[in-house]
Amino acid sequence: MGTVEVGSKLTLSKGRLNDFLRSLDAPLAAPIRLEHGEVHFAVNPPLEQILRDAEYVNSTISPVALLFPQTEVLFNFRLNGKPQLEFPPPPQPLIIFGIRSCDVAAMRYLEMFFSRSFVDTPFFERAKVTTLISIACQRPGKNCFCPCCAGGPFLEDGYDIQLVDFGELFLVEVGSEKGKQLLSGREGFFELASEELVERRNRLYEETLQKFEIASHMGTGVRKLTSRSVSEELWKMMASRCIECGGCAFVCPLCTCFDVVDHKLPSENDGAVCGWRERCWDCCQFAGYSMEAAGVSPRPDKLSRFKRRFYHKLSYFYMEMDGRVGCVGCGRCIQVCFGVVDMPAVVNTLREEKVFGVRLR
Amino acid sequence: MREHLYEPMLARIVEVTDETPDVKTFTLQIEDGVIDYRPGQFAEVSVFGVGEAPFGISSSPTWTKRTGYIQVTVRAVGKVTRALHSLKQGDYVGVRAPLGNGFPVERAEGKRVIIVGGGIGLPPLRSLLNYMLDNRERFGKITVLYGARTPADMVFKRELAEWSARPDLEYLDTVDIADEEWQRLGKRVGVVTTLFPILDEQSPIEPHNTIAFICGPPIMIHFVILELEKRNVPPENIISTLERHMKCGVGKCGHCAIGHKYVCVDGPVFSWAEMKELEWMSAEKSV
Amino acid sequence: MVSGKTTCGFCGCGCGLYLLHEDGNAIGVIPSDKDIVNEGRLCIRGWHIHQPLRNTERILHPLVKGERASYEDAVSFVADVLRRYPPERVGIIGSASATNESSYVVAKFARAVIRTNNVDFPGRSRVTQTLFQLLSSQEGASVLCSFEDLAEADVLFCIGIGESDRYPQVTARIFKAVVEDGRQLLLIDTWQSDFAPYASLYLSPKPFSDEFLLRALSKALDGSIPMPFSSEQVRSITGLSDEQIMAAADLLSSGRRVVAIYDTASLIHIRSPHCMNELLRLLRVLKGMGAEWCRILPMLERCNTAGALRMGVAPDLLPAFKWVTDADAVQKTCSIWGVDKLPRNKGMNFNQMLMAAERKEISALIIIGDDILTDYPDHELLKSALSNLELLVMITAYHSPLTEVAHCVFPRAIWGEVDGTCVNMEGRVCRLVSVCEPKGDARDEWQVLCDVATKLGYTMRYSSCAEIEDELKRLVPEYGDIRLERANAKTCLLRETSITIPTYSAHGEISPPALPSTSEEFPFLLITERYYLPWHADLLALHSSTLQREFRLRFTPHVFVNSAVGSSIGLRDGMPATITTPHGSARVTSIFKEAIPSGIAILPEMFFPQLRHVIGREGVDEQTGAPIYPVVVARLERTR
Repeated sequence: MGTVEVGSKLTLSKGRLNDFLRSLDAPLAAPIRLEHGEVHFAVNPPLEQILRDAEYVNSTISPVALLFPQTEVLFNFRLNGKPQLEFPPPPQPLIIFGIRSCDVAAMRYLEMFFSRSFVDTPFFERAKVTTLISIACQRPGKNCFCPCCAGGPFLEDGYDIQLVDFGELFLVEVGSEKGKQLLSGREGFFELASEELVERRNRLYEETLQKFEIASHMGTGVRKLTSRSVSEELWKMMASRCIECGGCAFVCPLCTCFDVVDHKLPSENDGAVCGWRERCWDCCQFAGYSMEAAGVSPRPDKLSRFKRRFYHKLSYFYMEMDGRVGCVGCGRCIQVCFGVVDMPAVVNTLREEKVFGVRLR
Repeated sequence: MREHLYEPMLARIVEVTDETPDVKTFTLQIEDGVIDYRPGQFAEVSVFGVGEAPFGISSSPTWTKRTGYIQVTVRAVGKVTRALHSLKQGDYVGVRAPLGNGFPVERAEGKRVIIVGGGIGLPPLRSLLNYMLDNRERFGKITVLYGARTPADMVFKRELAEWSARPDLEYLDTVDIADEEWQRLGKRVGVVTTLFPILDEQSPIEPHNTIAFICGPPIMIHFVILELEKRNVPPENIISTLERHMKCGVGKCGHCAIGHKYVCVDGPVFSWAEMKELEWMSAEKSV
Repeated sequence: MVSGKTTCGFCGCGCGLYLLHEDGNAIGVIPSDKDIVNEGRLCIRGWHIHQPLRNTERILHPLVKGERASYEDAVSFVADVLRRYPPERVGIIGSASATNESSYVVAKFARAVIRTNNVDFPGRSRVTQTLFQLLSSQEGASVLCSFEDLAEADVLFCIGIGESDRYPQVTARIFKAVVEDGRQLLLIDTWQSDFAPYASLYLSPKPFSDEFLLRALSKALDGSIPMPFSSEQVRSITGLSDEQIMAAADLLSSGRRVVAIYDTASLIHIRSPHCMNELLRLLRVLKGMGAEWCRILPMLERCNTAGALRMGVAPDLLPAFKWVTDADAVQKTCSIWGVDKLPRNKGMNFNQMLMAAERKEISALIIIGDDILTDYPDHELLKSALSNLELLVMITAYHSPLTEVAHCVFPRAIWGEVDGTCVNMEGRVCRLVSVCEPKGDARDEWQVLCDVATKLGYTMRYSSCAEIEDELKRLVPEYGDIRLERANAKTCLLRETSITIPTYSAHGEISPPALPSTSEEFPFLLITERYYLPWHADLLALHSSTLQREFRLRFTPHVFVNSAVGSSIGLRDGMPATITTPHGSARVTSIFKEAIPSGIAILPEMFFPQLRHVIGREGVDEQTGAPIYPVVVARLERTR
């Protein structure tokens, strides 16, 4: 077979999948079902619990949370005179298997965001040693709209290793140095893919595009929002339904806001006080998020906070800076929203300029 | 700064100076050594176990080179600042600095400089002014306008007296509410914008050659900008700071974002021209 | 690592979620998208329910008279002192946030060990009475509405439900029903909440006139319904015209499946049990007119109000909603509890116990949890009343003004450290799993009570929740199907149980609210209402770093007024104002809301203590013993 290169197209027979996964000498995160059937990316699950492509769409919490968790200790400290700081050990390498295209696209964005201006150490220590083996989607979920957001269902680039499930075997596309590194030394599991298979893959992609139930016309959303041609009334109606739960930010794989909090333990016998500084997910919809110490806030009301979220996701100025629109079409916000003001609902409301019946199903 | 983005350097409190009943200046010695910064940059100061908060560095880089210390001036208004106020000489804090963009000092070279401070807004301007005074020949006429609510609320009182006495510096101050001593001395009463007509008399502003730096409460900044605009100072030469709740200080946590800019990275110093543009682009009021 | 499926403990919705944890520390939550209640959604509280588990400000060790003591010593101390008092001088205050298993032990402890019926839980007796009114009606629990039913309803009748963030899962259903499914919403609320623009019909009656309006609606649909007041009187009391009432009645009768959504904690239903009674009457009329079904969703603030009631944490109820005078029930309970008799006389309810403490008519109280602080915002008054006690025992996780005056404090295990079940507002049994080890000496309150009981000579020991469940289901047979360990435990709706006891209160007539008249000097009616999620003294929420930050915003006393009216009298949004009533004046912040009708100013209940001197002392409703906040006339002026 020869060496694996970036751009290589290979095949992996299904029968050899488990052996291949076992051969990876790094912790493996993969999708499993929790007690009541919810999909979740667990670390080092028993291989027989790992879901097959046809068995799941995506997880409730994005696997990017493996690199940017809901709570993360930045460092521990011990105060007894001069403070002593202790940092967590360097993270273990991680391979995320079964991650979807939308989350891969999100991961690339996060890598850009967390290294822009300053490099976010905790994220980067993890990202450096994480490799993604994604499985391109052929069965979009009812909430998916990734084609509208350059988030899938198949990626042309930006992935490490992309698998396409063809029943008996996977097509294996190597997209990056990391992907190449992972497969090097494991060439024995793979065959070269035929041109015919690659053509089938392209046809499969086209077929998959037809299966999406929702469309979200992001371009129109970007245009209308950036040019400030959205009526105040429309904004008010939408914002009134938001209950500021934070769910959209917490499930969105591109949202990165966090708060930093110190905790102290009761002092020890020698008077030393130990504690830690942690960061945890935060959300711009929370009233306290932009509140200053003196009690004033630049976004004191729900309406201004609501607008802020969508400005960040859709404004042209952010797009320019971020290299993409602030959405990958994973559809998780639709699942968690109380007020029918998730991304497609808002974008389509902006587009159609009406409040009721905007879900395009 | 350390390699780990969120790791503070350790700093020992060398001195605590009471400026006003609720404002103190902390002189810090950073264990790692002297940091190199520009006037207008800020430091994230940690009280371990309580939290971290951003403060404009109030010492000038030239003073830091001379002494090896940096200074932050803190008003006790929240959890972290109150905890900081309870610390004493010899106690340790954490410092992540220098952060932010700082004042565009080079743009002031050869120009007439007007520095307008309101109350607790003076600290970063003090850094700027002292730096300019240490490099006096590079700048034209320097005017300082300072206003506070009451005489007791004025910070750096000793330095104000020194500035006021310098022949190479034009200094005017005022208070909203005077006390007996202030009135006895016949000093000015009124908001800081009332100092502008006085300038018109004694040293009128030439718009083409003037750069102004303003720090203070947002409402004061707003009115001072109006006064400067009235005198045709171009918006790109009106320099101020945007107030936002900052947390990480490095453009990641998102708290200070306005529009697509992060106050902690793209600011906190912005020109009025930039602020206007940002207000338009973000659909959010900036000042 | 992911925990077993558990349920959020903050409110009566009962959302399903998993706790993410590492090395024994909780680090996050995963909402369950398969859960019927929340379908993957969580409100701000649910998303942060892991944070109290990371918080270090907990009581870790027992305290006896303020000094750290060993657990055994604390148990001995309590038993020794309790022994001295006759049963009628001892009271137990349970919690509507405690699990069913825990509440069962609380009720058993009160009756079998202390031999008193002085057992109740804070929850505003109004809520308990209202819920009881519903459950003891002829329809009983079968009239409860599940979230699945809600999705099927074609007419949603929301009466006095307040803001959209109070009961998020209900909110989600309302918005989806209206925006996506085109269902009809009849909204009746004195002020215009976020739901108003979505209502097919929105009516804003005068405050406290709901029971009137409900009777008028019944009458409009069925002429035979007695209405002791003339149309003119009805118009003047409700502030609504005949046309408006007819329009509402028409909308209701157009529905084949009608659900009434009702906030049990809302103070605007000043005689809430009566309102519930009228609501039931109205639904009977609609059913009689041919509706397929009519149901009620009584929204409950706490996660286990229904469960506490069902377990007998009430002065006149044995488990399974049996009266303490029901001979058969008494006999059965005695045999299971191994006692020869149970106290016969109805005990004191929560408010009565507090008043008794104030008057030194009670010697000892055991208080479990911190609900008491949320439900009784006047902490200073509470503290002074309780400091009269000879023995105050608290089983709680956090320091509070009350632990300062307690003679003994046991550290309590919090959500995430306890196993058990709770019953949500639909009547659905939800499961809680313990994920983290209780911190320090903290343990389940039922364990503490068992140890004290044993010390007092009544051996009570359970090795696990399952053992408690085995016992309680013998008294509460509808629990027979529920097992903690069953991994796929089908949560069941306790709908099929009806309580065969006659309606015992609120069969009185509707009566007009006695409101003071406004004047030029005092143009506003100042009404106290239960605003916001009940967070302000919810100590669990206050120990979540994110939620605590959000609450801090609410801490300055503020009063809501209509934006236009506020501006017209010179007030500024978010700025200081002075409120003056015939009793005095106070500084507040005035906050504008378009939603408030003119002539009314709303004071969120949490600030009531700070304004007590201008509003007056809470009264007590004779029938229910529930506190009533006085309505006063006021004026507002800008403070310079």
